[in-house]
This record gives sequence, structure tokens and C-alpha cells, in this order.
Amino acid sequence: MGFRLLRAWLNEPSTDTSRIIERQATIQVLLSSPVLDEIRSALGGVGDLHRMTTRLALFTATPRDLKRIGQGIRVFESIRRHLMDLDVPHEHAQIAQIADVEEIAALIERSLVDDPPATIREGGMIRPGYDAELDQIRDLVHNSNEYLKQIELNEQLKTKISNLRVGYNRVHGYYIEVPKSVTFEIPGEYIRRQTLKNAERYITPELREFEEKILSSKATLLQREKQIWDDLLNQLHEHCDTLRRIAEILSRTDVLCGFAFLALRHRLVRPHFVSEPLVDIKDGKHIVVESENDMQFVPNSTLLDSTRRVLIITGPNMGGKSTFMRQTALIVILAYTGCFVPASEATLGPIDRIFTRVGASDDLAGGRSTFMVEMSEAANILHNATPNSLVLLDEIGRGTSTYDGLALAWSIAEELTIRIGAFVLFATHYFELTTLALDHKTVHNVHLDAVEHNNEVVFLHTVHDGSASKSYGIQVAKLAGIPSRVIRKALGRLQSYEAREKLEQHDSGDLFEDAKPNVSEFADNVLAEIEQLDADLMSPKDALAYLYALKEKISNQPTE
Amino acid sequence: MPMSEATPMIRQYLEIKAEHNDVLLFYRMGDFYELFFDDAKNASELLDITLTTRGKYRGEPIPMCGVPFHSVDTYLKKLVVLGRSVAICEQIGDPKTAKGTVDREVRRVITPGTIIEEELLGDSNESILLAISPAQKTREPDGVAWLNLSVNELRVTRAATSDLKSLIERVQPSEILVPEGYDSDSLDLSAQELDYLQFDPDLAVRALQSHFNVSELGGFGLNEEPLVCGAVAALLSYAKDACRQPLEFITSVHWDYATDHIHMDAQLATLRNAARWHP
Repeated sequence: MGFRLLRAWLNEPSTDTSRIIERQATIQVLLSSPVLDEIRSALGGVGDLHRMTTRLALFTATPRDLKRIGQGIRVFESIRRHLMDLDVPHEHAQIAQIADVEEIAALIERSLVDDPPATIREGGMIRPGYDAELDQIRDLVHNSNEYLKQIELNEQLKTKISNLRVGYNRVHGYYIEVPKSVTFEIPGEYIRRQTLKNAERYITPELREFEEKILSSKATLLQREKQIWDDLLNQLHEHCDTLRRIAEILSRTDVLCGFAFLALRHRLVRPHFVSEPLVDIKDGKHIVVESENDMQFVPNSTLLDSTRRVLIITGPNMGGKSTFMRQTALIVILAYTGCFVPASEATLGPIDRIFTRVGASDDLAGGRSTFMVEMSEAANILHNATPNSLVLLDEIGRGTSTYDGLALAWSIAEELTIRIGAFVLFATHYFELTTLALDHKTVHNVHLDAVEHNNEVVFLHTVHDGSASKSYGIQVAKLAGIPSRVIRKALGRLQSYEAREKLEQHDSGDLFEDAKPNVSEFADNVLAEIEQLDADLMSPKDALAYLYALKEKISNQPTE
Repeated sequence: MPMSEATPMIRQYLEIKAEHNDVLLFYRMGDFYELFFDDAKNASELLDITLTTRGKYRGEPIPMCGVPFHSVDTYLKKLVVLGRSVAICEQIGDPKTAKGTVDREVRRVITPGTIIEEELLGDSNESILLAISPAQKTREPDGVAWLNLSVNELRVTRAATSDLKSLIERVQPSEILVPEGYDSDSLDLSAQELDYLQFDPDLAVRALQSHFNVSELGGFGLNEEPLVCGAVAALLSYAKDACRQPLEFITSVHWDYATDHIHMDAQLATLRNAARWHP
């Protein structure tokens, strides 16, 4: 019943904390209530009341739809009684808007049979006793079978043909069938209708009269039943609005009971909301990863506030960087749907947007490479993120050459830190990025650890402050089944690269130290030039010309 | 009879088909829905049913294929999943009493975004129709409206072009309507182009006043929203046409304010959808 609302809540976590707190309050009461299971199982039997109500509004509801609407109302009545007994003021306010609906359910129960047909085409949906006229016609049609048996018996006695049968088909109507071997014994009033291989079929005036009566009463029966049906639809149609509201209440109750059930089963806690910027999660877990793995899940805390806005996350592959980032986003999303969260404690400030740049996928059909997709998503983040946004970046810049990627990752991280000031979780293998924390006090390093034991690697999955020392890429490659010959070669290569890098760093210093002065030197020159300018002496035309010249100069300035 | 003459039935077929050129026409003949000409060729491939011929038109045999009426839902379901629309043409006269060809009429056009039939939808699928009324100036946000007909939910918003993608990812529409000439390629989506007049703000305001039976649209928050009105009007007119129904039960419009909920980008929505979880 509530899956549509659940999807909507998850897709649109609310920024209105008063609404969230209302949901939380109901969940809190439900999870300690003895009737939670009862409500949940009652809701399980309700069909899609929203859709059935729409079909009723369109007059296309089927007999089964009406039956299920009736059952839905009964469930609503019992849930209403349960909820009224509980201390859930917000739900009471909703329920109070619904008038007495007992009569609607009673009407449906009175008028329809217990197990109505799927369509009204063949009739048979109206309960005996609901309409006297219909019952009368039904009797007539029903008794016709008795009457036919009587005719069969009479004719058998009259003709002394014991295997004479009365039958019906759609082409020839009612007939008396006599085997070929005894056709000489038939009376004179028999008129031949049809010849079969072993039998002849006849009609008599008495049978013809009966046929006319029975066919017309069958048509009358269908007509009458259709008339009662239309009348019933018209009566129920007036209640569409009420039914819609009931559907909404049942959906909401279903989702909230589901959340309460989850909270009990996974020992979730109720998050708190504050108005200052904050994401403070103690011992958070990734609820999906935890449920799908038998291994013990290692909880981790996330702290982001106005002095700690950017976390540069380093650590080995498979060490849990992605899981740590995703669990943080998931907890924020769950919290803002009203659901309790997998943590020992959670306090959240306002969040307006959640951005993610995790995992790379090619868009080959669209002719865009992995790197292009990655960069256009990063561009979107830089254009739209605000100080209240949560941004997850997983190994940005890995789709291009090492220095390109590092340079981009650096400048993107810096832009997010300085100009935007968003909450950022930035997972990376570029250890160079950890030096960002030296320049910017809102940037902090955290890392996940692994220990090496006899050249094997063991992941600890715990987040600590500070940066990691190694990526363990080669050890992970070994776990993945790369042949040991290749692994040995890679280890050799790695050692020679590391040796060379140390040498180069010694020569030219830091990669970024070089680039920075260039830009600021140019800017300083331009500023000095503007400073010397006497704006009062310039004509508007001169000023415009100068502006163009300045612009030209800037666009000619090399970026590195 | 000269070879080029069409039979009365084919003449009637062609008249009806002319009004439903861009959809498959299911033409009821007794216990079957038949398709003719190019429709037959397309449908026989899409549905994997036998292509045959019936009679001749202008000297050429007429391609034909058909499906029995009692199992039509199975075939319709296949077609809507493939994103195709189908016009259902029924016999409305009584064949026994009709003189010449029995009267026929299109009773319903089934399009991917306007499905209400339970047999075609299935329990957990939604059929959502979305319309975009693009702003004339690039900096202005577009007007967007979407309708989940099966649960009677009509929502509207203003969205910057850069936000459309995540909006569409969130709403998951089955069918998108745009005015002709709209550049839908940049959004990576396939959209149905309609006459731009369907989105005309002035006509839209009048159409909406008449639909909601009000003299002004302030109560719906649509007074100063010509683009949103255009999107809603295009959407409603398309849905009404498909259902052959005035859809009077749609009596409210819900505003989806950008600040009411946390925005999640398209990638996050996809990840979330991928991480299905059954506790």
C-alpha cells in the first residue's frame, strides 16, 4: 500500500524538519506499541486503493475493485481504532477529517457476492437478496434447468426412447437429440433441425416456446444486473474524495509502520536536527552493506561542521572509502525522510543538495568517455553546490593522466573549499591532496587502514584522523587473481618509480608551488595598472576601449 | 469492380487511420483486432506474429496481421513496454443490424504515459506523463508538469534546464511531451513533439480555467506562471485525447517547490535505485 509514498519520500527527502519530526514522533510511538504487528499485517491485505479509486472515478472499476475498496475501508476502520488509542496527534488530525465510512463498506458488502467475477460482461456479481426483481429473474433462469429435465423425462416416457436428450448450442438453440438407430420411433410433431453422424436433432413447438422465454429472460437478467451495477458505481462515485484520503492515510501509516519495524529490527536511532551546519554521525553503518554481508560491519563516525567542512579520505583500495562516503549520504537521506538511522547517535544541520561523483561509467552511446562524464558531473557540482550541500567525490580525476588528474582534483577540491564552502567527502589515491589541510583550516585528512602481514593485506575498515601511507593497489590486484609473475614485475616497477619521484621532487620542488606565482604575478601587474589609472580623465569611449584591451590581455594570459 | 477501388471497409479503415497516423491502429473485426498496411508490417515484427494479406488496394495485396480480442492485453503490454502507442478502434454498431460496414470508433489511445488499465500496468510500475514548456530566454527556468493518471496526481514545478535531468531521474516519466523544435538531444531523452500551440500560455490559461471550472488560476498558484500553465494544458489535452475522457476527476495541482526537498543528482538517484534492498 505504501510503496508509492515510500518511493516519493526517498526520492524527495524533505527539508521541512517540522514535518520530519512529526513522522519521527509517530514512529517512536509505533515502535513501542504492542499493536505494531497487528497494524502491519492488516495493511498487508489492502490492494492499491489509489488506483482502484481512480478507476472508480473513471467508472471503469471492476467488481473485484469494488470488493477490495470495501475491504480497504474495513482495514481503515480497524487501523483508525488502533491509532486513536495511541498518542499520535498528527495522525489523529488526519483521521479526524474522514467521516463515518461504515455505510460505504456495508453497501459494497450488501450488494456484491463474496468472490465476484473479474468483469461485468457475464454478470453474476450482484449478491442474491440485494434486488428483488433481479432475484425473480434469476429464479426463472435457474429453474429452467429443472424445467428442461422435466421435458426430457416426459419425452423419454412418451417416445420410450431412453437415450433421448435435450441439449443446447448457440447456433441451433434448444433441441431434442435422438440416436440414428431409433429415429423411426419419433412422434409426428418433431421437426428436424440438424443431422449429425450418429444422431438427429429435433425441435418441438413446446421447446421453441420455452427457448424464446428463456433467452429473453437471460437478456433481461444481464440488463437488470448491469443497471444495478451502474447505480452502485454512481452511489460510490460520490465518495471518491474520501476514498482518496483514506488511501493517503493508509499509505502513510504503512510507511511509518515499516520504518518503525526497521528501527526495531536494525536497532536504528532517532536523528536530531539543528539549525547550524553540522553532520555528526556516531558509529554510522551502511545498512544495505551490513544486511547483505555476513561479516561484522565496522561502524565509523562522520563529523562535518563549520570548522571541518572537507574530509580528504585516503587509504587502500577495498579499504572502505566508498562505503564510508555512501553510508554518510544514506544516513542523511534516511534521516530527512523521517526514518531512523543506523548509528549510535546522529545530529544533522540543514542540507539542501546531495551531489555524488562516485564510480565511473562510460556513456559510449552518447559518445562521451568516462573522463568526459566525470568532468561534466564535476562541473555541475561546481556550478550548483552551496554551503549547505553535501558533496561526495570518489577518486575524481582518475580518468586521465596522473598529473592532469591530480591538478584537476586539486583545483576542484580547492574551489569547493574556498569559494563554495560545501561539506565535502573527497576520497582519493593522490596523497599530494593531503597537503591541502596545511593551507586550509577547514580541510581535514582522514584515512582507512590496512596492515600487511607476510605480504598479505588485511583491511581494518576503521576511519582515523590523518592521512594514509600506502594504497596497497598491488596487494589488492593479487587478491583479485592477477598472476604472481605480473605482481612481481609490478612490485619491481613500483620501487623504481618511487625512487625516481623522490629524486624529481628534490629537483623541482612541489608541482603546485611553481604554478601559483605565475598567476598572481600577472594579477598583480593588472591590479597595479588599474591603480595607476585616472578614471576621471577618461571619456566613456576611452574607458570602454581600455576595458576591451584589459579583457584581451587576460584572455591571452597562459593558464600555466 | 476496378482494382484501384477500395472496399467500404478499407475506406472506413483509411479514414480512421488518417486521424491516428503516428500510432498503431488496432481495428476490431469480430473476434480479432486487425492491423493493415505499414502498421501490420511493424506490428508483426514487434509482436512476432504472422504477417498475411487480405484483399487488394490499388492493385497491391494489403498486408495484414491480427491478435484475438481476448488476449489483446498481452500484446498491448509488449507494445507499451517498447514505448509504442496504440489506438483501439471498436465496432460500435450491431453487426447484425448494420447496413453495409458496421460503425467503428477509436475508444482509447494507449500511450506509455497514460496507462490506467491494471492489466497493462502491473503492480509496481507507474505510468507517468511529463511535459516541458521551455523558457524563451536561456536564463529562465522551464515550466514542467507531470501526471500519474492511475493515482490522480498532477504536479508542477519550475526547473532550470540544468536541473531537468535530475528531475526526470526522480520522476521517471514513461513519456515526455515537448513543443516541436525543442532540443531534447541535449537531455538524452526521447520526447514526443507536439504542436507548439498546445503549450501556448494564453490558450492554456483558458483551457485550464475551463477544466478546473474556475475564473482564475490563483488558487492553484498558477497566476503568474505562463510556462507552467502551458505544460499543464499540453499534458491534460494529450491525456484527455488518449483516454477519450474529460478527466474531470483531476481537480488539484501540487506545486513541487525546489526548496521543499533535498536535491539529489541523477547519479545518486541511479545508485539508490540500483541498491534495491529487501529487509
